[in-house]
Amino acid sequence: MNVAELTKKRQPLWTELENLCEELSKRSSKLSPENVNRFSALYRAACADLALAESYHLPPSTVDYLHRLVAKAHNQLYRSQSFRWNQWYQRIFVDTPKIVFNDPCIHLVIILFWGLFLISAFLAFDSYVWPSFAAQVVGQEQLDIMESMYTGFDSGRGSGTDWRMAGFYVNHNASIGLSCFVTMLFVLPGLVTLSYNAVSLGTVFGYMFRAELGDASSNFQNFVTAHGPFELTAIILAAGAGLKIGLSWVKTNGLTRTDSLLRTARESLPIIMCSVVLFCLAAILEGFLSPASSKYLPWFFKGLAASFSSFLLMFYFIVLGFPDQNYDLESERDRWTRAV
Amino acid sequence: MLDNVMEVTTPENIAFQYRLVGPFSRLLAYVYDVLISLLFYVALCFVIYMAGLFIFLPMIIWLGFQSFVPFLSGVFWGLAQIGYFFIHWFYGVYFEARNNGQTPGKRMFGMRVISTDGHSIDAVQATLRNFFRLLDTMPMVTPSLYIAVANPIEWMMLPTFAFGLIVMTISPRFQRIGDLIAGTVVVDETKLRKPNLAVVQEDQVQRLAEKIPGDFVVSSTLGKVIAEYVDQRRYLAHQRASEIAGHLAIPLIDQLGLPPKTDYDLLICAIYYRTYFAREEENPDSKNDHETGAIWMPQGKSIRVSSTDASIPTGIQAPKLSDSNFQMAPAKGVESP
Repeated sequence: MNVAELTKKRQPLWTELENLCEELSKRSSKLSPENVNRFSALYRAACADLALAESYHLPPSTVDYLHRLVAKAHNQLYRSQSFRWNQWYQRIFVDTPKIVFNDPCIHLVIILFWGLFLISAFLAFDSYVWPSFAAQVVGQEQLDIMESMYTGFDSGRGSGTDWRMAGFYVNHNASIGLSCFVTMLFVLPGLVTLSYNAVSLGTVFGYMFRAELGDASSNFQNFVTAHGPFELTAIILAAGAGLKIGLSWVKTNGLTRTDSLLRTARESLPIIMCSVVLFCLAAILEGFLSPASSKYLPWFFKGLAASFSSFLLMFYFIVLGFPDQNYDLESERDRWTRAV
Repeated sequence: MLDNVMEVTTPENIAFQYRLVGPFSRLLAYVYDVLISLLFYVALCFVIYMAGLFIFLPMIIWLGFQSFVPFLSGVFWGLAQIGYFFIHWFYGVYFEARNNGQTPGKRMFGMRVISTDGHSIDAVQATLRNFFRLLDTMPMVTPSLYIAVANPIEWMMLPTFAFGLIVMTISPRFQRIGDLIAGTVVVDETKLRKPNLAVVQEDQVQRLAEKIPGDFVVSSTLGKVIAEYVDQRRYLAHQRASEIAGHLAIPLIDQLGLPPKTDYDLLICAIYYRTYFAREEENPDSKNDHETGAIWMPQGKSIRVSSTDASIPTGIQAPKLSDSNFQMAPAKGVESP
């Protein structure tokens, strides 16, 4: 038998395999058991044809066709494993808190963020050590804007606005968090942005807490208390997860740069997802609870919400995350960060 | 055609090639996806709006709570913004994880995202590669750079995709930043074109083919070059064709002892005909036909194997002859694939 006859004989089988591939790739269709059998038999046959075609004189155009046919069938045979929900409990409630608790990058971001935040908050609050600090850092104009923003604020607002603002905060803040995560890939610009935000946030906080501002100060406290814990933690997690990825291609621990990047990226994904969830929770509080006027809802309740959310965070990251004798972090990491 | 393929070895121990897709075809699919996601957003807004207008608004008015009308509009905007957030960040994640690496745009333009090891992607990879698209769109520019208007639109930032383009050009497999981080590539999956063996059936060719000595065996590289040439020769004028064929035919004429005036193009066609079409004596074993799944073994001498290919078991070895190892570098002008 010559090549022309062989190709002619095989062509119907190849076409059939291609048609089955088309059918499989349609979203809703399911093949009958006979067809599944047929598919695998045809796939094996095409593989064999390809293996032999390379060695015997099949013309290049036919070999090329076979490559693409096998590739197409391969993609249908080994399909994506969508979302495996049953693994999520383990990842969310066991692995992630432990990784966050033990991660040096997140420790670094916590120290950097809170350190700069507290120092600048103190300098801006205290009118004795460096009286013009706040004005020098964020500018007098900005401070005046903040002050006037919170002066006529206490009237409360219609609850329709709450819904609208909650939606706005989910979109706006979580997007900022994700951008922060993504841009941390280039370490230095990310760190500069983080430090800048820590300093300016700290300064505004310190300044707005000054007693001489009176009404504006109490309104400000009234507004920021409830959603603070969730939002600030979410920022830190996003930046920490980003920093992990950014440093992974600088310090590779013996892997090649690409491998190190791939591994770390898989590992930091749960952290960034955690941060997205916290941003959403913060947005809900920020939309509904924070703007409530102190006339209707005393500050006490907002403080209660803040304490409760801090308690939840501590439980999650410290109680669930505390190193455990029976839990081998390294091997768990290996298990779910290895390439497929 | 040089390196836009990626070779993968399967558990079946078959090495096959994926065709990679370049930046500009992918841009088309991306634009399509952006349009579809906008459509989703508009549809979502429409549904919320209609539900508010025809279900909740009449209900509120019927119950007599007129003051709740602004509340309803607040809910509308809130839900619309949350919807925008999820569509913007999770559109690609959902479709690629759910749909075996294809967003609607990729399906439309025949592409698929797969892992660099040839397997399909999982949800983690889908998430990473879609989140990091933000970096590929950078640097962002404001239209005010180009349009001298009195009040530049501060909030509107246009993506330039410069990072993505540069990284894709540098990386060996057209991977953008998100692809590098998630370990994925985008491969071509357009509809296949059936392979057609070019047919040369002229009498002259057949007559010349008979004159070629019976012990002449075509090596696999020579076979490939000849097939490639015959595939392309119908696009060439006769003179140009014989000029190209000459590189190969002149030494062959010498070797086969054919008359020196033999037409070059005709000779190559004759070898082609003899290699791929000529029917030789039928081996009785080759009657048992191939079932699907059975590995096809070449029967007897019909397809000759040069002795270098002996590692793969064949039925009967081609007879070893002094010049059965006829090897030849691909001639100039006839590019080997």
